Amino acid sequence: MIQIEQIPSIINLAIVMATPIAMASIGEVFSERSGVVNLGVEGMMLMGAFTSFHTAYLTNNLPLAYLVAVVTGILMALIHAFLSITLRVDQTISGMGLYFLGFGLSDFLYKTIYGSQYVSINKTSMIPIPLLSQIPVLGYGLFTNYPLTYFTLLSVFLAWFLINKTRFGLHTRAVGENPRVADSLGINVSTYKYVSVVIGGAFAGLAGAFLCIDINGLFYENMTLGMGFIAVGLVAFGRWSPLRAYAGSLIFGFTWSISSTLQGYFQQAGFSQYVYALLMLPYLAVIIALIMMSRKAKGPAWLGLPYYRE
Amino acid sequence: MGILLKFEERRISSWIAAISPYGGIPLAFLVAAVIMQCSGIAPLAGFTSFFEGAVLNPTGLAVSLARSTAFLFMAVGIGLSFKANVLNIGAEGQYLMGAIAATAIAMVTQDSLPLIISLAFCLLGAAAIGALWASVAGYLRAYMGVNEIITTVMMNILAFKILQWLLRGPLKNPASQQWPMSPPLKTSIAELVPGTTLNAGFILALLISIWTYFLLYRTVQGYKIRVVGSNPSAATYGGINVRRTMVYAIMYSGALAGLAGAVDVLGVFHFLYEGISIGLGYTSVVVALIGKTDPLLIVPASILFGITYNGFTYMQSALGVPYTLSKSVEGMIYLFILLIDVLTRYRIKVIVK
Amino acid sequence: MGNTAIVEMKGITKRFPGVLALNKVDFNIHKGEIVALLGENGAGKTTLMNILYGLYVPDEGEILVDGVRAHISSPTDAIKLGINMVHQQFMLIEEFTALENIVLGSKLVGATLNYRIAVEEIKKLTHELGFNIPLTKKVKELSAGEKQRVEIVKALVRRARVLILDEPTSVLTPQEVRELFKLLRRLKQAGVSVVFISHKLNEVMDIADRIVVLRRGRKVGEVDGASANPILLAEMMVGKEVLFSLKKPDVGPREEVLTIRDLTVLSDEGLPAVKNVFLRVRKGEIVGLAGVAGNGQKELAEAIYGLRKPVSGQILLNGTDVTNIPIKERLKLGLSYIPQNRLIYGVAGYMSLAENILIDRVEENKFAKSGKFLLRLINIGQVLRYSEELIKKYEIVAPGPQVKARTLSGGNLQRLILARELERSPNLIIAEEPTAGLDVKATEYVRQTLLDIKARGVGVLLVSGDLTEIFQLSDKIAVMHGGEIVGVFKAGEVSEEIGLYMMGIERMGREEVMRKWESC
Repeated sequence: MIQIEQIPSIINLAIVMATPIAMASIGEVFSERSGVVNLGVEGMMLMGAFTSFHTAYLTNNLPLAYLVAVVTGILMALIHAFLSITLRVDQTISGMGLYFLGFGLSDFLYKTIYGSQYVSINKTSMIPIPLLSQIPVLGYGLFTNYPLTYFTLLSVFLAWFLINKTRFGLHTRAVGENPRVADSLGINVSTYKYVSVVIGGAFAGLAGAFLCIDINGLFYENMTLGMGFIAVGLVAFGRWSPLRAYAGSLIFGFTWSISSTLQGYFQQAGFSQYVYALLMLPYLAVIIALIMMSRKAKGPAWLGLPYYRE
Repeated sequence: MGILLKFEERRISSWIAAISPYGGIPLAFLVAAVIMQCSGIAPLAGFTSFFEGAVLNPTGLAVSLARSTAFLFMAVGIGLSFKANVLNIGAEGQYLMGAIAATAIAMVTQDSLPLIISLAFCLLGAAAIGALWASVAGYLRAYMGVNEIITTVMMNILAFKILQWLLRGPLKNPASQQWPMSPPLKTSIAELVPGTTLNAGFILALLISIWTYFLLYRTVQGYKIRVVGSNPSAATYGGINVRRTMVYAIMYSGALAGLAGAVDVLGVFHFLYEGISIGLGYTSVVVALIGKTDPLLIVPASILFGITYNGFTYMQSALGVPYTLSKSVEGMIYLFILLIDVLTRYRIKVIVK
Repeated sequence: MGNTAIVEMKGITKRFPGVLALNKVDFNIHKGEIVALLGENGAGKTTLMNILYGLYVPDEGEILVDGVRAHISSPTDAIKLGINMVHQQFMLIEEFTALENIVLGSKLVGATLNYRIAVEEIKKLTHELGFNIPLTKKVKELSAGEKQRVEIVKALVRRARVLILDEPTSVLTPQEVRELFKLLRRLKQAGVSVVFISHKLNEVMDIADRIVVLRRGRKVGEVDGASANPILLAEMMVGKEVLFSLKKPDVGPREEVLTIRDLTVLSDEGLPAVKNVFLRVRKGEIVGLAGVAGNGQKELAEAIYGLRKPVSGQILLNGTDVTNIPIKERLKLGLSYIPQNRLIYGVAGYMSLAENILIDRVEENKFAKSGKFLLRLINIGQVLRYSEELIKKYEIVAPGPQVKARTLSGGNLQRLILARELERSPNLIIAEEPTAGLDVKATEYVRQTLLDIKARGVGVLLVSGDLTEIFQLSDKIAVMHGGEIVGVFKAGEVSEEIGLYMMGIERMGREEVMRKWESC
């Protein structure tokens, strides 16, 4: 079924598909470590995708497009932060609102401006890492990829370092575990929460841009296909560690990649209806992963709860 | 420090509490008007056609009510589920599964059984499938602590994939080559207003919402659901099986969503196609929140949203405004509701230090 | 003393909705002294110190530190002035290590968390004071005494001049209390001032140089520690001679209502919290379970009720084996529970008072009409009528049965729970800290009620850290230490030696424990 020659491209595709989820997930790790759940990641990704698409189309300046996406994510995150931190609205409900908003607005704006056709933009191309990309199999798979993919891998380690080895990380974790204690020690709970949520939003926006510009080269309705929610789920799956969250995103990536590759085979063999069964696999894999990990996961003690001083 | 916000609870009458969320709607429409203006569409013309199509015109009104039927079913179910603190975002998938079940059962029984019996089987089957579909997420949440929002969203995607597969396979209409859809169904629900899509399903939805109110506030099981949502530890202490209650709650919600799908397929469209639900399940979450998860309050909220949907659809055909503007409006209504909810429940004092 | 005051609090007044917590209170702290704030629960001691620590802002009055007017609006301000507070509920992050908790928010570690200097300084400090803290252990693994020491080090590392301790001995064994006092005296020598908040007369007389007594928000007296007269102090604290003259009717031996055989229960962390316990409660008898909190009492109570599954052993209720049956069934057999964690287990805040009365009674025939499954209706009229009866009978202060439970004060919530549990005509009541946080009048009422139902033949398992309460009410006293029953006594058989059993220094062997259960 799968030829050996296909393995490098399977690996490559797996890592590519894992990247947007991983990016969004790392951002969400920050947010949740400070005690705030953000279910609107999907909406932020979609808005990030759209704004980066529009910018890229208008200016052909890809770095600018990424920047715009990041700013979009940050703005949306600020709404969520304001509602759930300052106004103490239930975090789940606030996040869902941003999902609805991002979903609807991105699609509406696209259809208004571009109509219903698919418009494509220049994609980024993959950049091979010298030397390493010559390694058989892994060379193409792992070391020939988009710049943002490398950035994501880097941010996994940066995030880990920031959270565990810096004072900023210590304070953020304190705020997520017990804001009362943190407050009594002079740590500004609100500020740390806002910063973490904004980091989450920035990553989510960027993830959307990656999905749009790098992977697809065009925008269409609901193009994130649930990846934002998967990213949030992976935080719990990875027990709030950026490294494990990345591993989780690879599960999705590989399932997607393998089922994609099998699709061609299915169609040739005449099973084209069952293609849809293959398309379900990544999502099933996520559910199974969540089930397996959720038993032992114990997150920051104050996750999901608002904090205020009497 | 800076700015400190102090929240003091306000005493508000239950009337204001019930009505205040609706304040989000005009605000959202205002923002929509601004968006329309910026996109080069005259807001006035837009809204005129909105009201003409959805409210002022008897056929349009009937269609609006027909649309609201699905919302009513699903929002009432979601509301009950919310009362148990189980957040069922999976109404979308449960709706689709119900529609699939109804189509399949109709195709099998429409020629062999009398209409009423075929219809009954369709509806029961749809409810059962919807409940079953929901129970998966419910079980995972109750017994394994897996976040039900994520699982239900995954299940939604799965349901859509199943729909796509079936419409190209077993449920496919042999006559239509390109488009994936089912053959026209003979089992159907009686029309209330001839010539429109408004069907008896609307009555069924009303009855069910009244029944749900009764269930929640007058029966032992409803009481248990409310205690579980209010304080699960206290519920455990009281001998209530919290996990089972949660699963029951989401299954009820799923059954209602499944019914919504069946009613739309058999009463409105009379065949099954891929685009049958364009986010109805997600919208129903917003409707449930406007109605404060209370079955009776959800009725006017559903009708309002039915009108909104219909209005925007009309605007699309009349002025070419993409109907997805309604989605953004939805999102905005939602956020404004949250804002208004906080502002009405609390008096906020800003202390600057 | 000739000492100038470091802190002067003058004319402090503080109002909360519906209550005047502090009324023009003056309070001074001198350098190098241990001053005690003595008073009953609710007298205002903690509130006064919370104001000094910046958690509350006074409505009237002023605070002078070193003779200069100070505006303390947050703990950060207080800490800057050298004022530190160790609360009753430790302000520690359970998941962090002791070291992380100590350095959190301080300038001891740089941006990249270099702990070396901090560790050195902490080790120097603890060595001077004569104790050791396992710095790399997570706080949740530490004992109460160790946690307290972490808090104290936390304060000292921030150059504390004033250390406020709020009811520090409530979670300590008598041995740990002695160690704490040793530490406090060392601190005094080092020039640190200590404010010791307590309601325990004898401890205060032991440790304090000066005692300030508060009652109902007012300062009623100040005495020198060395020459204090306990009777005078008690009168100042309470205001009148409160004689707990509770009638204790005598009952002869009756059938067993609760039998626990060889029970082992695990804690949340998977370690045995209850080890092979034997216990017996007879009809019409109160068995007091004494012990320092955290020795397995909570897990035992939860296992009996059904909130926790034991790993081995047997629990018999009126002869029926209930070890593994669900709570619902145990309720039907006449089991009742007044939980310590009232807000978590006892009430659903957003539901009405009447609905809360139903929580463990909704299936009773009185309230639920017949009907199957979804059609089982609640007799709402009956529920409301019953609720009103109970409100009157137990003097619950509330506008009516329809109000939301969370609007009730702590004392009234306790009355609500009490009302609900006592009125179900149970066979056995597990009463966990039934008078915690209640004022004198309510405490007396609760204790009398327990004695009354005992007279009616109900068995009571009283779990309490308050030895006075245990001694006053119990027919039999069982001491729990380290998850085991280490002592069983008839009322009157034991007095202060019970502390030795509570610390685990003295213990009865298994056979002796069994014999005592038989003979009493």
